[in-house]
Amino acid sequence: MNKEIVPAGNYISMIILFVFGSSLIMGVTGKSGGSSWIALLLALGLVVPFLMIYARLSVLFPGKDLFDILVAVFGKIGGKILSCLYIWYALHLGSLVLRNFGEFCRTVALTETPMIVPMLFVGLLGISAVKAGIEVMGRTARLLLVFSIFVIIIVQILALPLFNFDFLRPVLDPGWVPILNDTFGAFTFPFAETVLFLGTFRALPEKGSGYKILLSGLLIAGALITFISVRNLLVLGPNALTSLYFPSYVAVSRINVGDFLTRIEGSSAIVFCTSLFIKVSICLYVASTGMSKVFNLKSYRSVVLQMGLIMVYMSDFIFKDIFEMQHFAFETYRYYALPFQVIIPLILWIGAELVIRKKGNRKQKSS
Amino acid sequence: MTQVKRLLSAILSVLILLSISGCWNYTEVEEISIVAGVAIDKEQSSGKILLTAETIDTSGGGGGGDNQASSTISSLAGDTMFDIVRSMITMTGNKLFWSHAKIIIISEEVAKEGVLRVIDWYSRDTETRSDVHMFITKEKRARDILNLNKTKNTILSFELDEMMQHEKYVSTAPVSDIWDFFDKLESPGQHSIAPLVYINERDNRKTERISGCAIFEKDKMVGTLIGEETKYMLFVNNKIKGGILPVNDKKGKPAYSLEIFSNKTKIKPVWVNGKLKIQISTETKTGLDEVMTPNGFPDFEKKKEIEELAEQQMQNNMLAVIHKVQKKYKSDIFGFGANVHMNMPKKWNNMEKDWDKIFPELQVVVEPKVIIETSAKTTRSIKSGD
Repeated sequence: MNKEIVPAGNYISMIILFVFGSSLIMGVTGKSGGSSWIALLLALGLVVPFLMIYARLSVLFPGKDLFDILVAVFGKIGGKILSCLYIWYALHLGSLVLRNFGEFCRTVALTETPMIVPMLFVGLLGISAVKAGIEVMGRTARLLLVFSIFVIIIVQILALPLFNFDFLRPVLDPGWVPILNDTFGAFTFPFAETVLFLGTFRALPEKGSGYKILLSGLLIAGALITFISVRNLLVLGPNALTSLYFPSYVAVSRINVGDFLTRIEGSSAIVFCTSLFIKVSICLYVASTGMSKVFNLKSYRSVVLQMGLIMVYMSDFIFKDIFEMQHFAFETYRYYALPFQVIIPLILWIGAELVIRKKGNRKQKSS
Repeated sequence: MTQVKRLLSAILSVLILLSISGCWNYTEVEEISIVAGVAIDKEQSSGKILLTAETIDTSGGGGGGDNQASSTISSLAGDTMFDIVRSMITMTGNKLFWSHAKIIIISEEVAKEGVLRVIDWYSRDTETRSDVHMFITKEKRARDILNLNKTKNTILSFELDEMMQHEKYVSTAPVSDIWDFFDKLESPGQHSIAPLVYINERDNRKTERISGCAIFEKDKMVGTLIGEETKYMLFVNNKIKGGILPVNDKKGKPAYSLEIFSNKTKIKPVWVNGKLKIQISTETKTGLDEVMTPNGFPDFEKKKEIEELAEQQMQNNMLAVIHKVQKKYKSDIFGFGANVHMNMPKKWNNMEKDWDKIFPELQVVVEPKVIIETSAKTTRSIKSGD
């Protein structure tokens, strides 16, 4: 039994990059315009209790991951059915993220290259990373995170002269309804997507470290995303922001330092690529582990390649065009993701508490 | 077995080597036509869009060593912008390359019908960049301005771009790119402006010149301001970064020049007796750099007087421009509406629909403050010796 352990720092890096994923380039909020930062902060606050639930599960079942817990709580059949649902969710999420990347490439960077090519390359990279194991992914994430944050900070400083703080006023201009709407959107995409990390809890360094790791990872990522969203808002203004597919990219393209340092939008694409790579790898890892658990395979490594290729191919046919992708990401996804992120974990948590308690009672009786 | 593996990996490496060198869509610089700027007219006979592009000659000067840059002009008419842009290949032989384009000149005729239909492609497409300057011209044909390159032997678009970059020392035309234009178009309570360019002819020598601005309502041009008026409009908009403030003496004769170091304008909407009132206050730091009369500046005590003169004249000029725009063009290019939106969001919700009617009737108060910080090298005006 090879037990892989990811140190806390690497684990946090993985979470940060995972949350960055496609949200960084797609933008997080749609309708709230000048008050999007409020929506983001609310979503961040809203997601904290759920993170506590996820982390609590890791305390109740140390050394086990989502699929073990599902089976332990719901029995063999019920657990496996729910496991299948989560495998689908992980696989589908990976495809969505890959598709975001594909559309991004087709729209701005490689307009004449077929979309499947960049998606395939990231997919293959993800496959090799997952095959190498989650420890390697953690170390990679650590390295890439340093680089990403460096780029983000540099771009942030260069964008400073473009800031127009008038765009922030008046506060609460669109009213509460769009803001709460966006809060809901930002909660499901990207913050509560961290539910997938339940599938990697086997690699948590020690008992009880889940709280610290999940919370600090998410709060750092949330702060940076808020930072970047506010930057986009201050550079582009609330009106233009809503009309763009990739606001970060356009915001960075506006940077012009003395007619010398211009056209650095490629840098924002680099951050996108690195975080996307980690997100796809995590999704693939979780889907493969789930698969191996459901079918009692010796190791998840034997299904990684197949799952990865399915993921890449699915990302190609999942949407007809960019309009469908946009609509799904900002309208449908929030309802679709709710059971995976909120409902099932809630039931799982309650069930888990009951199961543990019963076990505890039995132990007390027998002793 | 190991030999097969080795062979396979060798073949694979060679294949990868070919594909990662990035030569897949490699384009030589001679195979693209680099666009420096475009002019958009309406073709008289058919009513179609007529696009004129100035492309840089990449063939190189060849001999002589003096590497004079030159450009070619080509025009084509069509129904949509993108259609024309692609059809240009049939004239130039190459695909147009847009990343280095600096300017768009739009004729008055097209601008009055609405510029959205000709520049939407420009902001939407990924080949183009939205940081190009948009000009309006009152000349009959916008392409005449690009055609000046024949007599001047330069790349005209780049020249115009340079003028825009140094416009901050003059402040008689707004500096904006099409991104700003679209941003203002979409913002409520605000209308766009664009700089004017025209051909300056003296002694049979023609040059292009930027001065003044065109006023838009939504995307349709409704009028123009001359350079002098534009300067005071920019004062209201807080866009002044430099330039000269000429001041008349008490008799109304030009007597002083103040160089503007910095300017700060604050617009504050207030609610007085159930009516909206806009309060504008400016603070301009200047240096006295020219005194045209012998007794104009005998010593520094005169400073106060010059400041007051300047303030008085600035107030008159700014109010004149505001009133002209209010009464004649009825287009809120000063962003008063956006300012009300920012400071009184609740009141704005009631006014937003009727803003076009409210704006011409708005009461505006201007309080300029001019500060003279230096008088350059000399302490007093030059005395004429008896």
